Parts: sequence; structure tokens; C-alpha cells
Amino acid sequence: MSFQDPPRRPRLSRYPAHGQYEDDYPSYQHTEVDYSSGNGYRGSTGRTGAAGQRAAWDDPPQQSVWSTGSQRSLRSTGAQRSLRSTGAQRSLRGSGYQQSVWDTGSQRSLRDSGSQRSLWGTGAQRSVRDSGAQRPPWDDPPWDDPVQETSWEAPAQQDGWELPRRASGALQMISDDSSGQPRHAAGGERRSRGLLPGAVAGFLAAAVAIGVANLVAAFVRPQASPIIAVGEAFIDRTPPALKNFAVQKFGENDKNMLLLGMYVTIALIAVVIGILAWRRVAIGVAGIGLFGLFGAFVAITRPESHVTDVIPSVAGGIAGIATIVWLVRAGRPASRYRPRWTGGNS
Amino acid sequence: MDRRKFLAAGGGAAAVAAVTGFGGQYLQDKRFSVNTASVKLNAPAVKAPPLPSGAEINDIPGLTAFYTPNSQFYRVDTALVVPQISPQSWQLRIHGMVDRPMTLTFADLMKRPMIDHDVTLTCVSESVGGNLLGNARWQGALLADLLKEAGIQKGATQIVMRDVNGMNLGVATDPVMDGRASLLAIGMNGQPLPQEHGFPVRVVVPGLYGYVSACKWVVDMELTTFAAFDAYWAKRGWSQQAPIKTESRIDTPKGNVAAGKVMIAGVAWAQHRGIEAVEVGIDGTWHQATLAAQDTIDTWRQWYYPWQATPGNHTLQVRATDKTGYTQTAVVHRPEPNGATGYHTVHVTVA
Repeated sequence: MSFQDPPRRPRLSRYPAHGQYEDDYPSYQHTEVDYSSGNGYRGSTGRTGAAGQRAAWDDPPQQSVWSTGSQRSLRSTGAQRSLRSTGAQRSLRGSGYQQSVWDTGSQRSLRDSGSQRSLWGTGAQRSVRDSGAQRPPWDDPPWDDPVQETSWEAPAQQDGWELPRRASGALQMISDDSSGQPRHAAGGERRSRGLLPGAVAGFLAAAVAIGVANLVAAFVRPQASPIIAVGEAFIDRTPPALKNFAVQKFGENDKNMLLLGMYVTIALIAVVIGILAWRRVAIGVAGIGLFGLFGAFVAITRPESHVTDVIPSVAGGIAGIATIVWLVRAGRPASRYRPRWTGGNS
Repeated sequence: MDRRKFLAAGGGAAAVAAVTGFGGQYLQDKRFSVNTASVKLNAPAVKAPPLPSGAEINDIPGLTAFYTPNSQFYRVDTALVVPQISPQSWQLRIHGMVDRPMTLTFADLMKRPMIDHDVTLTCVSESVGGNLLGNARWQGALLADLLKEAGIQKGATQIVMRDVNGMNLGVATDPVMDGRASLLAIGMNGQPLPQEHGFPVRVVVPGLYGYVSACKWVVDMELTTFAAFDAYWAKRGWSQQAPIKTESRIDTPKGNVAAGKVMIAGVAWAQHRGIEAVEVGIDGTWHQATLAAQDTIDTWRQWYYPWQATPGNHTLQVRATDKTGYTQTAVVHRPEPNGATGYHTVHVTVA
């Protein structure tokens, strides 16, 4: 199953009347609707293609069930996820969890949170946000969310064919979402995406950059290695008090401590670059590129340096850039490079 | 799907980083490291005088050995990677305020009469009671003779020495030329200089802190004046000239000791002035310590004082007097700008 490029459009086209709901939904006012249903709903309908799901919508809405806390807690559990692809899940959704259409949202969120993407900031965090399972309801007043408001009224009135219309209306909200400004989630949630893979990507990019620079330095001269050049430049700028401290505290190991400190610092900066690169790969390119240029600059401004001393830094920078781009592309679905729901499904 | 791709890519990146990083290190070592064994030390033209009996005390546990093994010799420098210079490619250029600028090859240097001389080197960052000093027998050619051949001019007050990385130390001309054993050294304790200690050639000037004299991997000497040039450390707030201060250190005992006879022992140094006397302060009362025999005035001297320790807490101190009659000051001063002062003080508990 590809959840990245679901067949959304053809599905929408089956519901010619959806436009009217787009216009109408702001008029729905019902705050009792669990925000999470609407929340989960977003982005869902167009992507649920199975006829079996539609059958679920045919079930009468049971507000009592889906508005209860138990339902919410169920949804937020891992157990629920495990039910996701099973028939049991569908039946659950189709019966009690009957915001039906809205439920498709939760369906999506559950799907997104499935094992395939569970580790990924892009997938897992998004799905968490979308499902709302881990977000306290008071974070998002339901009355601010027209979709949710719609969701409460709608199920009581809809049969299976109308629900998708509402879904289409909600789809507009999805496109809203895809503009990069999540309606519900605070910006922080969005920013927190890709923390782990971004950090790993940044770290590895820096490691490759340093490794390649080290290798190339073996064919230039060891002092041309950016680590050595920057470290020696740092030594030159060390105040006497710090120099004394290092020499007396670490003795023979003062240089190893300096290198350790440099590696830790570089790793931290690289992790930040990687996290930012996960959102915008250009930041990674620029960040690693600046690293390389800095190394080259320092290497060539050292006393007794040669013009060729820039080569290891430049080579390392290029390798690091290639690595960060490669890793971000590998770990991030291609569809996330462009807005997902704006401007059609091209 | 994404995760699998990412893990594969990440694993690949990690492998690339490891292979290039460690492979690069291996290649650097292989391509650039120089074998010090290629240098064979000849018998020196001037042998060091035989060590007087009793100059070397090695039967007091905890007392610093008179000669510091090369592997344990302190190393303070700014080179993150140890420079690798093959003797074949090594050259020393002498220029600036000299009548006859010259370039010396390693073969030229080896032809010069070699001198063996014991010198205790000291780092200016040596704090009171620290261990940034060591004693070795150095073999090298007299720097003064070389500079006379080059026609050193009268106004030259400073010799700026540069290593292969461009690091520069400035030494005053006077101490180099005044007849002391200032060496262009190629040997250390009977071995070619270790890489970390300046292979193939370094400078050793008795009586001056290392940062104003002991240039390792030296390849360039420029005769100039102190007014004209601030060397590396002088630019960073350290004094331009820095003779080693008269100091002393307690090596043993430390911490807790058993009551009874306890040997208090350590070293004292005042290079190129020589140590005349060492006193041990026990709870404020000073006692004359016994000194090891004098080697050269350019080395430290071991000393000891047998103490009948009584139970309780005691404060031990040491102070040295050099052959000029100067007794080290009790004023505590940090190493910058030209060397730390103060009495080394040790607190012991006798049980």
C-alpha cells in the first residue's frame, strides 16, 4: 500500500456535490465534537479508497461512543494502531467510532502511524498530530475548527454518500494544512519533526565530510586537514589562562581534549544542521557548505600553508553536502518536497 | 519504506565516513611519518663529564628520577599533528642581522662537533608543584659557533626561531652567545630526537623557559631585535625574555603516611645558576635538606630530608636557594607572564 500517493482525486470526483459542503461547513457549530475526530479527519477522506470503508460509514453515528474518553484513549494506544489494518479496526470504526467521515481521518492517522513510518518524524509526528491522540484536547479549542464542528452534525444526517462530500469539504482544510501552516498544531510540533533522522543525517554528513577531508589530506599534507587546521588556529587564539589550565589539567592529553571538544562541537552543530535540513534540504547544503568553506579558509590562512591546503576542506564539504542531500532524500518521502494537497495531485 | 531506505543510506554514509576517516589516518601515517632510526648518533666530540657519584638518587620511593625517560618527557607545543621532517629534506636557514646568511643541511650539521650536555627543560606553564619539567642528556652542535660563522651583527638582540609549521619562538641573543651549552640538538638521552620532541633538530638553551628557547622542528632562524618582532607567545601576553625561576618541589610524601621515619624528598632547579641549598619547612620550622651531588648547573638537583613523623596533620614546604644566593620567593604567582612562584606546600596526615 502506498500511503504517500493515494488515489485521491478520482475518489473526489465521485461526489459532485461536495462543493456545497465546502461552503456550508462553517455554519456547523457544535463544540462537543471531539477535536481529535476532525483533526484526524483532515487529509483522510480522499485517501480512503476501499469500499469496505464506505460500508463503515453507512453505520449510524453513535455519538455516545466516539465522544467518550474511552474511545479517545483507545485511539491513542498502540493497540489501536495494531488494529488499524484489520477488519476489527474497520468494524470498530464503522460502528462506535462513528464520526464516520471524520473517522476516516483517524483512520488515516492510524495508518500514518503504522509501523512503516513509526520512527520517522515526518510520518510518526505528523500522524500524532493529525490523530490528535497525544495532544491534550484543550490545546485546540474545537470551536475554532470548522471541520470538527461539521463533523458532529454531519454524521447524524448523512448516509454513506453524503459523508464523502463533507470529506471533500474537509479536504480543503487539508490543503490548508499542506500550506505549511498546520491549523491545529502549534508551530513547535511541526518544527519538532524529523528530529531523530535529521540529527542522524546531519551527524553522518559531518562524519563523511571529516572522513573524506582526512583521506584527501593524506594526499596533500596532514596539516591541511580542516580539523587540524582549525584546531591549530584555535590553539593560536587560546588565552594564556586557558592554555595554562589545559596544559596543567590534561598534560600530555591537552591536544586530545581539544580534538574531543572540537568533535563534540562539530557533532552538535551538525545535528542542528541536519534537523533543519530535514525540513529544508537547502539549509543542510548551506550549513555543510559553510563548514567546508570555513575549513578551507582556516587551512589556507595558517602560517606556512600552501594553496593546495584548501583541497581537503573543499572535498570534505562536497562529500558532506552530497551526504546530507542523499540522506534527506532517502529518509523523506519525495512527496514532501512539494505541497501535498495544494494545486491538485499532480 | 522510507525508513529502510534511510537506514541503508545512513549505514552507507557511516561506512564511508569510517573508511575515509580511518583510511585517511592510516595513509597520512604511512605517507608522512619519518623514521627517527635513520639518524645515527656519533660519539660526541665533547662528552658530558662523568656524572659525579651521588648525583643521581634512585633509592627513595616516589622521588623523581634524575634523568627523565624520553617516553615520559613532558610535551607542550602547539602542533596538533606531530610534524614529520625527513633528515634528508631538513634545512636550517639563518638570516636577518647576519653578515653571511646561510642554509645548513642535516649532513652539514652532522659534520659539526657534537656536544653532550645535561639540561633540565622547564615549561613556563609549570605551576608550583607541577610536572612540566624534565631532565635529559642532549647531544647537539653549539648554536653560538654557528651564529658566529654566519656573522651575527652586534645589534641583534633576538633570534626568532621558526618551526616547519611557522610557529615561532624568540630567544635573546645574549644567553645563546654567552658560552653556555646552547645546542642545536639532534639527540636526547642517547637516542635520536623522538618525533614529539622535535625530530630531526631542536634547540636547547639552558636556563630559559621552553617557550623562549626550546624550538622543536626548527627550520629557520632570523636574527632581529626585540623591538622589531614579538614572537608567538610574546604576542599573547607572555614576556619576551624569561629565565627559569628558582623553584623546588616535594615529590614524597603525599596524603597519608605512617608515623615514624618518613623521607621527604624532591627536586629543586635554578638552571644555569645552580642549586646551592634546599630547606624543608615542617609546620613552619625550616630544616636543611641533603642535596644530591651537582651534575651541571643546568640541571635540577634531587634532595631529601629524613623526618621523624608524629601522628597528626602536618604541613610540609620546600624552598631552594641558588648559587647566586637568591632564595626562592614565597610570593605565590601564577605562571603568566613569565613563570610561577611560591613554595610548594604539601599537607600530610600521619597516623
